[in-house]
Order: sequence, then C-alpha cells, then structure tokens
Amino acid sequence: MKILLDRPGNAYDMFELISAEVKENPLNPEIEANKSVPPTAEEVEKQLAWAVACSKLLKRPDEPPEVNVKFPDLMDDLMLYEWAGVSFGRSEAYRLYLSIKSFSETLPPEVERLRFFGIIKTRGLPYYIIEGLNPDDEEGIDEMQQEGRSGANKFTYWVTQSVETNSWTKLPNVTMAQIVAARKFKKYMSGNLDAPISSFPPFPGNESNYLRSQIALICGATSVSPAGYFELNEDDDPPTVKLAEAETLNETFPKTAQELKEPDAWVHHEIELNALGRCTALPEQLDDNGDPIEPDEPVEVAPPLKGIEPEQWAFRVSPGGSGEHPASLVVARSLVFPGAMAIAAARRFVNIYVGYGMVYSATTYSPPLPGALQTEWVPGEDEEPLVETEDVRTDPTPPKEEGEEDED
Amino acid sequence: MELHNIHKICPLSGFTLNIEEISGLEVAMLQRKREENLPGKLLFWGKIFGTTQDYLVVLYIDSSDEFPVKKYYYCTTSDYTLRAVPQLSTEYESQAEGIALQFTGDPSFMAYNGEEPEEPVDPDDPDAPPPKEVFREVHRLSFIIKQIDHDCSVIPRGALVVDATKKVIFNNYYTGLSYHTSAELRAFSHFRFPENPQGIAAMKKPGIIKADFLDCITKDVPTEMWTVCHNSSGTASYIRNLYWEGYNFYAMIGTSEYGGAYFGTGVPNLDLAFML
Repeated sequence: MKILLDRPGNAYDMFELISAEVKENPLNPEIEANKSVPPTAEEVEKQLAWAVACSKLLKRPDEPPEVNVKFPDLMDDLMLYEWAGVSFGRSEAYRLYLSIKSFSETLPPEVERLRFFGIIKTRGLPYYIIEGLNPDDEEGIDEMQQEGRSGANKFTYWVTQSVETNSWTKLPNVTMAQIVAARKFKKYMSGNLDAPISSFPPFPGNESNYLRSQIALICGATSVSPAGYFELNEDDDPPTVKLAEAETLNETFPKTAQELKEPDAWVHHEIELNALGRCTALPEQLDDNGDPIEPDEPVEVAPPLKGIEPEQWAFRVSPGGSGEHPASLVVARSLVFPGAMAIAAARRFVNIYVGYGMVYSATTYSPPLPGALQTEWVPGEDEEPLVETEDVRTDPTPPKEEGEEDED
Repeated sequence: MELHNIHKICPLSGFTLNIEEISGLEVAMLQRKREENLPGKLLFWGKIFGTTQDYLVVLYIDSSDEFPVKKYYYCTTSDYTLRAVPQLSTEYESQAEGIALQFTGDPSFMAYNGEEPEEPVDPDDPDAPPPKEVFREVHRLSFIIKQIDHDCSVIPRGALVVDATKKVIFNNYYTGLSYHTSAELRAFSHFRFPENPQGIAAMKKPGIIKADFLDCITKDVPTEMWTVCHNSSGTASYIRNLYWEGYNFYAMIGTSEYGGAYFGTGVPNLDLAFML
C-alpha cells in the first residue's frame, strides 16, 4: 500500500525493504498498516506529570501576589540573549520565567532582587541557577574560613533541574577552602546535588558545594558591565560598589556600539576572588599582646571596579556587518570561562553563563603531585634524644575481693 | 540538522544562531545550492567560535554513491558566502593536529609559530602577488570539522538502511525511536562509513541486510563521553558528547525527526579522563 501511495523512484528496492520487515514480524500487522505503536505506561506517566506541573505554573492566581522581591524580566532579556546566540527555547524560557516569578513570591524581602545567572550543564540534567542577595544571618561565621555578606557570600544561589516542578534548592554558602580546592581540579558534575566529588586534592564538600564554588569563581571573574553603570561608594571603608546616580547614568548612557566595542569601556563590578579565595582582606589577627600579626606572604585583594583584561574577552557587535547601527548590541564573550557573556545595549546590560563551569586553559591538565613525605623528627643540637618510657607493669593477680562480681 | 529546526536544539545546547546569522545562512545555502547545482541536502552543521569572528559550517550530503558522501562549506559571520572547505595533505593534517589554541576567526591566519603576519593585500590590485601556499587557519578548520564529524555525527538506528542494490540510503519509512529505546545509547550509531569489521562484512552479504552495520556509539572509548537523557516533557531524547564539548543531538520520540549540531570552540576536551 505504501509503495502504491508514495510512488518512490526505486519502488522495487523499497518493496524489498518493506517485505523483509513484514517477514520479520509475521504476527504484527501494525507495521504494514502504518499504525503507531501505543505509548508505554511510563511514557504516559512522565508526559502527563510534566503537563500537569506546567499547567499549574500557567494557571492565573486568584489574587495578585505581593511583590517583595523583584524578579528578572526574562522575556526582555531573552531578546538580548538571542542576539548573543544564547537561547533556552522560547516556550521553555517562558516557563522558566513563570517559575522564577512564583519562586520570588516565597522569598524574604532581604533578597531584594533575583537575577538569572545561567545554566551549568552536567552529565545529567542541567542546573538552572538564580542569584539574589544573601538573606542569611551572619552569626557564627568564622571569618578566617569564610567570608560573610561583604565578601564571597554576598549573593546566595538557588538551583533547579526541572523548571516546571517549581522547587528551587538553595545552595550552601561557600568557604575559602572550597574555592582554593575547586581551582585545582576539573570534574564534570553528575547532576545530583548530594553526590560526592572524588577528586585530588580532596574537595571539602559534595556536589552542591562544588557547584557553589564554581559559580563564585565564574561570578568573580566574569561579572563585567559597561563603565559608568556602577560607581564607588566612598562612604564605606573600603569603598564598595553601588549603582551610579540617576543623573550620572543619564549623562553617560546610552553608549554607542562603537564605544562599547573597546575593552576599556568595560569594568568588573564584582571583585574577583584572590588566591586565598576571598574578596576582602583577611581580618587582622591579634596575638597575645594585642598587637596585629603580619602574615608572611600577604595576598592582595583585587580593587573594586577594575578594568577588564583585553586578552580575556572577545567582542562582537550584533547586528554587525551591514546591519550595524549605533544602538547595536555588543556582546563580550569571556575566553577564560567559555560560555560567560556580558551583553550591553544602549542603557541595559546582562550577564549570563551557559556551559559546564570549567576554566579554559591552553595546556592540558595534569594532577598535582602528592605532597612530599614528612621526614623523621631529629632532635636539635642541645636537646636530648627522646627516650621511650618504661612499660608500666602491674601485678596481674586479682586482688582479694569480698564478694563476687558477675561479668558479662 | 535542518536550519529551520534550530530552535529544537536550544533547550539542550543553550546556544543558537541569531537572526542575522540565520538570515545570512539561508541566503548563502540557497545560492551555493543553485550555483553548483547540488541535488542533495544542505544542512546546518555547526558554529565554531573564534576570538574575532565565528565560523558557520554547512554540510552537504550527496546520496548518489554507495554510502552518503559529505562535503563541508564554511563562512564567517562577517561575510556570508559559503566556501568549500579545502582538502588537506598529510603534512597539513599533522600540523593541524598539533595546535590546541582557540580559533581566531580569520581564515587566512598563519602565524602559528610566531611568524610575521603577512602584509594585507588589496584584492583589486592586479600586480599583487597571489597569497603564499602555507598552512592557514582554514586548513586547521578543515581538519577539525572532519575530526568532529568523524567522532560525533550521530544517527538513530534504522534511519540508514542498505537497499537491494547494496546502496546505503536514508530510510523513507523510518518511524522514529520509542520511549525506551531512545533512552539508551545503543540505539544510536555514527553517521560515517562503518569501521567495525562486522559492519563492513554485513554490508557485503547477499540479500536484504537487517543487521546494524554502522558503528554504534557505545563502542567508542570511553563510553562515558556520551550522555543521553530525555527532556523534561519526555518527548525528545538528547545526546551530548563530552570530548567535543558542544556537540548536541536531539531525536523526537515516535517521529522521524532528528538532528545534530556543534556549537563550540573547536578544541577537544583533552582533560576528559580527569573530569569523568
């Protein structure tokens, strides 16, 4: 029947193929009759569950919710992403927007605003990540191990792997040791937040800590914005970064694509993590007399609002070529963290990350060698060598007891 | 994959082409098809990122031979004219293999060993000497495209069949994979002339060939470089390659629609063994 209907050029060859298939399945006439195979129960369950969850997202709420925390206007940002060549699928992106919006209604007002950080891909399902100011209490944090809201833990991150179930998991705060360790190896994430990370040197934490460390590294190294958007707040000591005043913004912006194409038009608005894993200097340690202890090798902290290194970024103008006009978008693509992008157009900019979370290095990775063996302790010149104390010998005969003891 | 289906791969890859690139490619593909009178299919193959500009690569499949023959065309994002990717001599191939830097985006770039960049030549000047025959980025591009395609090009089982004249053709009656088979790697094979001895022998047997003759992707070493999962709605199967980070393939469950594309830097992930 199929051959008669289709009339292909090589009808005889096609007939041979179909006839062979029919001969293979003599009891299953469905294939020849071109009926589709019914879906399995598992397939039906999964697809139905997805559809039900999505329709909940799409359902209009009875009363308008309170807006405590500003959610990102993803639909507007999507246009910027698409010019940069980044897209998550338009209808999927709309569902993501709904999910972020309904999640923002459950957050405390200290979070202030949410930003879509991007996706980190894994060996399983990818993590969709959103960022907001850290609402956690700072009590009980050991400043020597972990920074608080003034440093690396300024933001807190929530992740989800399935946009429609609307369950965003909060990632734990990051410690200095985790950042330092995360820089020393590269591992794909498995897609399960509780999975252990088997690496050398050993990573102090599981996959959720590793994910948080990678996000901190990416955020520190690739959060760039057009110069003039943020300015230093001289009132704080050390000066912090804040959004520029409205008048200054109106004077500086909108910038043309020609200006934004140059590397000196961009600055980092987040401080990059230094070798110790910190954005701010270590707190002063006082010794017994109350005098500050100077560390042997002080590690510098990067200054705020640093200009970008031109070799680490590639710039594109979209639309470019013959379609270029002064209000064209400029996309800055990071060469150090491939997948990190900053897109600026006239008065707006966004930062987005799509990738596996890895750094690009021109040389191949080789694991660090194990540490040197510790040498035996050798006594100093004037000290006596250690002498093993004599074994304490006790008389094994039991003392005379009045009553008997039951022993189990 | 078909250019108009590019939005199907976005949820998987995160990357896509912007309007300018799609519009430029549509024009370029039609022009190339008619200028060279190509009867086969022109598909979008992938995008390779460079520091100054990107390369867009188009694949042409010619089904007139015993096995579909592939030919590649490339263009840069500044000039949407498709040019054929050059054939390489063995000397150029070994030179290309040794380079692990990112692409610059300039096809005539040749200063790989710290050589002097050549003087820009005015193309309209009749006295200008022709460009030197030396290893350039376009040769490296050609090598990388062939490598990626050899290692990554995927096709679902049953989409390519051997017909009665011993010719390998696309199966017109391919109905797609089922929900369960699409979640397994062994339902997918490499879209290249088979390299496994059983496959080559199977193709020569008389009669209709029902055995799988293509190389299955599970036979690659290490198998863990391929990941397969369903999308959240359970309607498509997504495959990714971790050695060539950026190769993405999708197959819709129950229908004959599938396609793959590469969005990446063109540099393989040589640290794969440490990252798994």
